[in-house]
Amino acid sequence: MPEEFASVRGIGKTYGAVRALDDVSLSFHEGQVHALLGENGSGKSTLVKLLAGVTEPTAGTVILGGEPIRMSSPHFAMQNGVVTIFQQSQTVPDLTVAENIFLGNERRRFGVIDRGQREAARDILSSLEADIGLDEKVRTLSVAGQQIVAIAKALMMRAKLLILDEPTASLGHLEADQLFRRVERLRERGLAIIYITHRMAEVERLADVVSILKDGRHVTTQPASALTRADTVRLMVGRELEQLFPARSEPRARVVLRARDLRSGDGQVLLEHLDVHEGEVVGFAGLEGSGRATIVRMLGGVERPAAGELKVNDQDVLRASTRDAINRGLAFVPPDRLNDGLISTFTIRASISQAALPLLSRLSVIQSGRERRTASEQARQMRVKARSLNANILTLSGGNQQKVMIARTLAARVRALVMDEPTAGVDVGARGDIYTHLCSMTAEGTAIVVSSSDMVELIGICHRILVVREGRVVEEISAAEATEERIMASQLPVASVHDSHHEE
Amino acid sequence: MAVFFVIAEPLFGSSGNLQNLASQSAVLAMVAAGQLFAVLGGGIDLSVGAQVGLLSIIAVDLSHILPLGLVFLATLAVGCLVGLINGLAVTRLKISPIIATVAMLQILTGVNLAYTKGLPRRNFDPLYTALGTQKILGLPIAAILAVVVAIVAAFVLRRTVFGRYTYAIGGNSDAALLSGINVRSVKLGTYVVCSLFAALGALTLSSRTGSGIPDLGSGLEITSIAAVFIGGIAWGGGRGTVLGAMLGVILIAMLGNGLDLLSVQTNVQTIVTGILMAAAVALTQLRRGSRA
Repeated sequence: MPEEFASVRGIGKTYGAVRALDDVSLSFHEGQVHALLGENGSGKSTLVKLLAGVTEPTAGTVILGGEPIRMSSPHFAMQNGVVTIFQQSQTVPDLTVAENIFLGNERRRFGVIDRGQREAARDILSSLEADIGLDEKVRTLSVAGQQIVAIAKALMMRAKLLILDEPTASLGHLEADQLFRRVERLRERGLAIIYITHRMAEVERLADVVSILKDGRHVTTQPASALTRADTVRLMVGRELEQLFPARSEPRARVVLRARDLRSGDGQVLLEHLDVHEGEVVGFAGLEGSGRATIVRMLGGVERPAAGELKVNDQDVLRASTRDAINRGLAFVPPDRLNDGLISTFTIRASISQAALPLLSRLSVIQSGRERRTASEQARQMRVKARSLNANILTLSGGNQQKVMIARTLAARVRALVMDEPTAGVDVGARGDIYTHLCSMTAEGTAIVVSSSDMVELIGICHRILVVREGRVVEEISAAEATEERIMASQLPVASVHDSHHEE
Repeated sequence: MAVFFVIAEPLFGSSGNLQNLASQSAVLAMVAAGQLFAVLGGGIDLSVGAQVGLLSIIAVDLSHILPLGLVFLATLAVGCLVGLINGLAVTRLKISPIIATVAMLQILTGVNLAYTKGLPRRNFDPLYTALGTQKILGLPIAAILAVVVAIVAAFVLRRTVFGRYTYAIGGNSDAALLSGINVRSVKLGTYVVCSLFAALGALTLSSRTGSGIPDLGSGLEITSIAAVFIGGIAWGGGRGTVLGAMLGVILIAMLGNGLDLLSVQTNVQTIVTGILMAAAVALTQLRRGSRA
């Protein structure tokens, strides 16, 4: 048995009357990847916050190297070797990579930052096999690059326990793969790693030990090899994996969303031909950096192609403002709901009605009664779990926030819905609700475009999948032919695709 | 605090003084109601004081040649024009609100001094000074107007699409844009509303003093911002209510009035207002921090 680095004993946290975490005991060992699983609201994030010193427990203790310790602040936790890489970027965009790595930890000589430490930073980056220059501005790096900088910073602080909170949430497949290799190397170096994710494939690939939390309580801790995927899902939600995806309805003949020859500024055709029919779900696959996001934003009416044709129910939306596109029945749900979707000061009700206010007002005065009714109707349909719609939107879990994003488009009576990463950071239970709802929308004739890096999701809900590679749509895969292997092979750059083509 | 002043100086609670307090705070209330729009929309207007100064001159000059109704309309129109320019500078020229409105402050002050040579204009005609000095049913007209302005502002913010959008762009302008809100025109609108209410304040102040004075409104930009922040809005916009801002106005006015009666120097009052503003923002932040 490897050495225990940290543990929690009987730890609990209550917020007012809400028991976020209740009598949980877990240990984290050196050289092990400990996957922490559970739906949103299961207590995972609370546990992480307690370990990271963001909040203090209301019961129980944190033990570090055998001694009880009071994690009084994030700074204190870091000094004691507990470093957390949260989902939100913790890097400073306008500083360089080196400056970020040393931020808060500068070695000073007579108060002046010592440039000799650059060597150390370079060593760490190369041990992570990262091709990043020390003087690059972090702003210019991809999400994956920024994450590497955060990990390098953790190593510079001599982290012994590294907590990764959904590290692949905004990574493409190639980058996720590189991250997995880095995590494996960190394990070899003897770090204790807590790995939080919603993706079973990652658990299977990386985890040594799996702990499952549900409703703030510890359900089980087992060696990863002892748990099947089905077991894990059942323990998390009490629901079978197959039930996640409802049966698909049959698309109708009528075209709702019609796109032709969408061109970028340099004249390249990104998408030649796409008709999304009533009741049809079209998927977009593609690695991060493949240009998938751009094409999907164009289809969603929020990025204007240089040329082409885009129509919803025969009305032009290519040259329309976002407002007009919504009026004509086209809505876009962005992948980053916290930065591009939700207004953090709004109530749940206002968040749902946000895009539908012109429909809910007379002479520019909002009709509160209609707004309330519409919001509660949509919230009920989407099964948004909230005590009151007057509560702040951020009091909801990620899954319920995403349901609000979709409820908003329903309130605006959308006919064509374009979603980028519809279930990023959404727990299994809420994902089921979202899929069920998309399905009932298609039954009513809505046309849906779903862009996702989760291939299981694409295969589960789409009628056909378009694959984007090197900026353009290169292939269409029907639901019948779609497998993870097939999509993956099509996503990869041409050189490596040849082999898989021969196999077929 | 009211209790403190009543005990320390019994005159504070007299009906004469309370009415005095009401008309003193009326101007600040109007300007703060406008400032609230700019701040909620994620901006700020540092030129409202200079606007009040210039508009008071314009109003008095026009009052010698035009009927009173037209004087009011013209003054409000000039106010809106200034707000429009502020808004265009922020939304079209992409100048940060602080810089754009400080530039406006400079320009208005310059125009004002060039035009008046720094000398005040007078109009003590009872008709002109009625708004600032007369009463209806024992209540100062200025105070009634301020309450009306506050109610209108609250209605616009709470019940209209424009008000909701103002909160939206202050809360998260990227998200607002993606949900189909025309961020630029809403933001422009907040500056126009801000200046419109400032113009009402200018008319009231000019009427009360029977004067147009170049630096009549100086300091109003800071006290109006202080009122908005003491009323509980967080820096960066998106939160805050008219009621909060009005409480801020009353607090500042009471403080000024009470300290005046106790013969405390104006300088000290300014210091106290500053401390109050910092404390209010700190409290908002602390409250928010403990919730996270």
